[in-house]
Amino acid sequence: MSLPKRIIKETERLLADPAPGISATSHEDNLRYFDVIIAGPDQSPFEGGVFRLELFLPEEYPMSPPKVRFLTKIYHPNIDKLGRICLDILKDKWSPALQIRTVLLSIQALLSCPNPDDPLANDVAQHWKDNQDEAIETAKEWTKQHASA
Amino acid sequence: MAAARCVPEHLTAIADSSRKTGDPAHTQGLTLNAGSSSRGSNKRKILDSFFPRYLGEITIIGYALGGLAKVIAGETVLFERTRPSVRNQTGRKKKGSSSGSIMTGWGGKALKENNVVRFTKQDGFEIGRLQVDTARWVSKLMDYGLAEFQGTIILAPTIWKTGAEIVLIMRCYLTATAFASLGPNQRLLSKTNSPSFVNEALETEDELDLKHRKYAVNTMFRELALIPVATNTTVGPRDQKIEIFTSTPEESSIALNDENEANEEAEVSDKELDVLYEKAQRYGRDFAPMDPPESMTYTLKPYQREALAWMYHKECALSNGNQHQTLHPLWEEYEFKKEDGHETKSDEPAKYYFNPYSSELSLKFPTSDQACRGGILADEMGLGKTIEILSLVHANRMDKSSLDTPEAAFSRLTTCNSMQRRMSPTTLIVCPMSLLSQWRDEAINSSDGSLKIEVYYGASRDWSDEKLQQRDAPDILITSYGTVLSEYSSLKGGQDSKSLSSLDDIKSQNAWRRGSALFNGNYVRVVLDEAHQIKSRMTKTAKACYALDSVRRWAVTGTPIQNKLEDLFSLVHFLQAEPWSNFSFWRTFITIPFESKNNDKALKVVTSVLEPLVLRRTKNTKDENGNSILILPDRIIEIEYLPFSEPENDIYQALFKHGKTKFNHYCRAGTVLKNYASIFQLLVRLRQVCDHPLLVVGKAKPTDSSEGTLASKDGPILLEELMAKFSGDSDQTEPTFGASVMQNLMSTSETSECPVCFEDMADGVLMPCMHAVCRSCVLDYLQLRDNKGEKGECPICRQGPITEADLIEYSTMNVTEQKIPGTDAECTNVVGGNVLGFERTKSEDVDGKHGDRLVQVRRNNFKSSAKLDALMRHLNHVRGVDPSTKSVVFSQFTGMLDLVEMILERDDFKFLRLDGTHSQMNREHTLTAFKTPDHPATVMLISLRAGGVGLNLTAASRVYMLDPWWNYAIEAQAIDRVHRMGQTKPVLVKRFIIQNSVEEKILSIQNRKNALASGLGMNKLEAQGARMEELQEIFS
Repeated sequence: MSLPKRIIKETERLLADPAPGISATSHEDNLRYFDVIIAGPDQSPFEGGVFRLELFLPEEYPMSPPKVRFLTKIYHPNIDKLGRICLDILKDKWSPALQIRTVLLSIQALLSCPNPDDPLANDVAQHWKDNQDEAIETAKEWTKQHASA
Repeated sequence: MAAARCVPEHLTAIADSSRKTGDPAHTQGLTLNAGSSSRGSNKRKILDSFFPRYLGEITIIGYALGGLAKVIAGETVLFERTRPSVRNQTGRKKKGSSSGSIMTGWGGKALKENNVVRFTKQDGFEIGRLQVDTARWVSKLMDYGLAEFQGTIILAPTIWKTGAEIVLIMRCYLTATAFASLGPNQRLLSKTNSPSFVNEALETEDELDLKHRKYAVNTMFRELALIPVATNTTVGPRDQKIEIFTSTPEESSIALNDENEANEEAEVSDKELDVLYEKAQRYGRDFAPMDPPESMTYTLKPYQREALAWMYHKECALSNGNQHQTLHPLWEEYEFKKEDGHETKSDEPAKYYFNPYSSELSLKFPTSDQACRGGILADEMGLGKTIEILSLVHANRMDKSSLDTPEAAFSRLTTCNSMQRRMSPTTLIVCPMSLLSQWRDEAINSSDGSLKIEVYYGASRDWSDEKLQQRDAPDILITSYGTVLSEYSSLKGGQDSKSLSSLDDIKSQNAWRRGSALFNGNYVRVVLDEAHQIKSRMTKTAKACYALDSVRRWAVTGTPIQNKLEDLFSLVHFLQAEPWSNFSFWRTFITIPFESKNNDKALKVVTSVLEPLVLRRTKNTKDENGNSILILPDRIIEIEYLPFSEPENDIYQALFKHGKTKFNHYCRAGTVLKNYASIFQLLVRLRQVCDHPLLVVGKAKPTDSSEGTLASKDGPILLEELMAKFSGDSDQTEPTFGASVMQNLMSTSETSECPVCFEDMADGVLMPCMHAVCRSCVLDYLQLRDNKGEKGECPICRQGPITEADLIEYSTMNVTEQKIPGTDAECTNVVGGNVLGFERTKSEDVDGKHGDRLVQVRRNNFKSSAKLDALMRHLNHVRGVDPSTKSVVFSQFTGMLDLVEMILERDDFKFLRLDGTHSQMNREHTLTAFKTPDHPATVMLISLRAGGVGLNLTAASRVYMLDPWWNYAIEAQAIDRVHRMGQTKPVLVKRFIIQNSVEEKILSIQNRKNALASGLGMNKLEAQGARMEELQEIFS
């Protein structure tokens, strides 16, 4: 089945005009599959880290949201051990008007502002609530440990 | 100006022979009455020697009495009445004092009237009596003191016995009394009486007297075989057999009663109207065009300068020599015959004038230019009557400084009747409420500031009585008919109706005027705008206007005759253009001949009435060089036939079948006319469906089961269901559009991309939040959410909930240079209401640099209608071609205007609206806004009935008539609000008509004479028949 024009255009635009701190390239054998790299945002516990993600556009895209997962381990209350991300626009708040770029920007923003009140990794979230400084310290360590380029 | 207006109605004219020739007489006749005879012995002497004046002689037959006296041929005899009746030479009795004897004497059969005329020897010895048919008129003349007689025996019988025939020559002499003008009570019969009587056929004693006098004098003229040396050529030589005047009073009285039974007055056909106006159109050229004074800031067009000259001369008629000396149409000119053996003095009048219709006699030349200072300005709508009147105000102003020396001013400027009151320097303009501001604005704009202009309306009426007489009185005071009426009613409230209607009474006792600034003023000029408002002389408004006091009176109307000749009478009466302002005159000479199908004659007379009184030019009137006086841009009226959409048609057909069933039922029962109102309501509903089915939603609630269930071919369907199907189930709230988004759409020259599929938006739709997406994308998305049990929302901003029905289709197009001169190419490709018609021009051509970018939006599943679609198609197209074009949309249903408002909002049109619910302030505001070039509103919505009169909408050049009215004239009038003077662009008018609907039938009815609406009175069999025919046609 042929690739929708939208996906081609998105791919082209991501290459031609990448968002700062984000890169996404599709696999040559599967144009719906993207290798994604997000730089940890400045002033965040993830600063300096380089996080790899995978992104897959399902058949229904853009009516259905893309599937995105962190490949790099990350200490974040909204991202679990398997790299799954708790982000509303990837679930019920998806809208076909959103794009790969906007999704990745949202994820980048999520790194800047962890939200322990809507956790996916319960233990991390608890840690964040109980002792935020300590949790941030842990996150920095993990970044150093797992996400150093 | 016009200082000599008030020549008292006295004898000065006779004594001063230079004046007699130099001054066009404005009084009816030579006025000589008892009171005036004491004025100056010099005059008295001349008249004494002049009267009785020889008129002529006839041969008559008398019969001898008793044989006691022998006479011989050649002997002079005298005539006398056997028993002078109650009313003899001693003078006319006061009203009421002798009514008993008169009524029994003439009207009743009980008492035979006394006509006996004796002739006697010089010493008074009775010889015999005149034959009855001669005596009948001679006796009257003697009783009224109009004539004196002398006889000479020609042939005496050889055998003298009672009853023997005597042949005599009778010489007739007119007395001075005959030349006395009829008193106001006689001349103005209708003024004092008719309007206040329910039955106009009732004759007062004055009317009876007048009739007898007419009969007697006319008969004398006929018997003497007097032939006029001159008559007014317009009327032509008088038909000597005019029954009404020469038959005996008893007969004519019966004839009059007959006429009164046929009370319905014939309508004036259009063709006849043309004839009427033709004369008035020619008039007015006789004066050199006149420029307004410098205080007037406007420049007048040539024909307006002619109008100014004409009006100025009408107002100053007296001071301005023999400009227009035509013999009054009712008068005939006679020469005095020379009596044998009598010398005629050179300074004696050689001619006299006789009015056979009133039996008045005069020594002065009666011109048709009446005392009335003013006239009817009847230029067709759009020629600038307002400006013409204003130029007159500028040109002919009263010097306010004269108010300082009241006495001097009075003698020059007050009328005889209102000597007690002070002249006001104000021009009073009475107009319909909706025109108040237009008048005020025009008046202010026309003036360099030297005119003081005030509006007398509503709450701002707390004025002192004397305000208008003071130096700071406004030059122009504008008020409404309603204000005039209400002040009049409150002033006259306590008085009985008889004195209320009597202008003479009112004038003689001006005391009642105290308490109203409006009526206390004796204006320098009164102008009635849209004067056909007082066409019915019995209405209180008309009476109130008659009571406004002024020397100069102007009636301004584009339609002085709306239906009947009597419409004109009221205007003439207002103008006090005597004798036409006398209802008896009018009736005898115009109404009755007209009713008796003697139209030519009646029309001729009316034209001669109109000629000096009326100035009328139409848009087609040519100047002396044959050019149109007014070059208005073209006006193209096109009927656009639209088909119903399917759901609309379902509704219409259901309603129609329902109506037809009902109508047929009434037909069979013979109760159509009884149920007229209900049928009319059905018709209204059908017409509303043609506009938009929503207009009847909620009004079609079933009152009983049979009415609610409508049969259709698919079985019974509830009307409500159809409506529901049509209107959808979403709520009616219409979000407002973000103008910025529209602007973005307008400004981007690239075709935009759908944010979902990233394709060019071939069939983009807009969310209520103004986000644009492909139709298919958003539909997929909505479907998806629906599957998940979620409400729809905008994919971009998540605003919701959204259903498919909320989506608005839009398409963009580059309009290249498509300006089509004069015509509108659009109509060729969109006729039939095909919505796709305009998409043809949708731009694939992204670099169409020549044209403006046009965004076309349309609500997806908007509860539009064929007509709304057509309207929007036109409006959008016009906006694309020239965004500054302004349009006017007329509908008779305000509900329809509501819907138009919605659809205009949807498409981001700025609009204004004017309907009956608006206050005067609002209307003013709205009209001014629409005129302002920078104002964003390009569309004006007007309810047909609120916008019919007077409005100036020349800012617009497009007119859309959403629905036809029964009478096309109403529509035409509405159109002329746009296509009138001041219009600089060609005017394109679209009349939307739904195919195969009641509207098409209305169109065909429009083309016929009897419109349903005009027959609503339901008092005439013919009208009923016509209406039945029309109804049957509609429901066929």
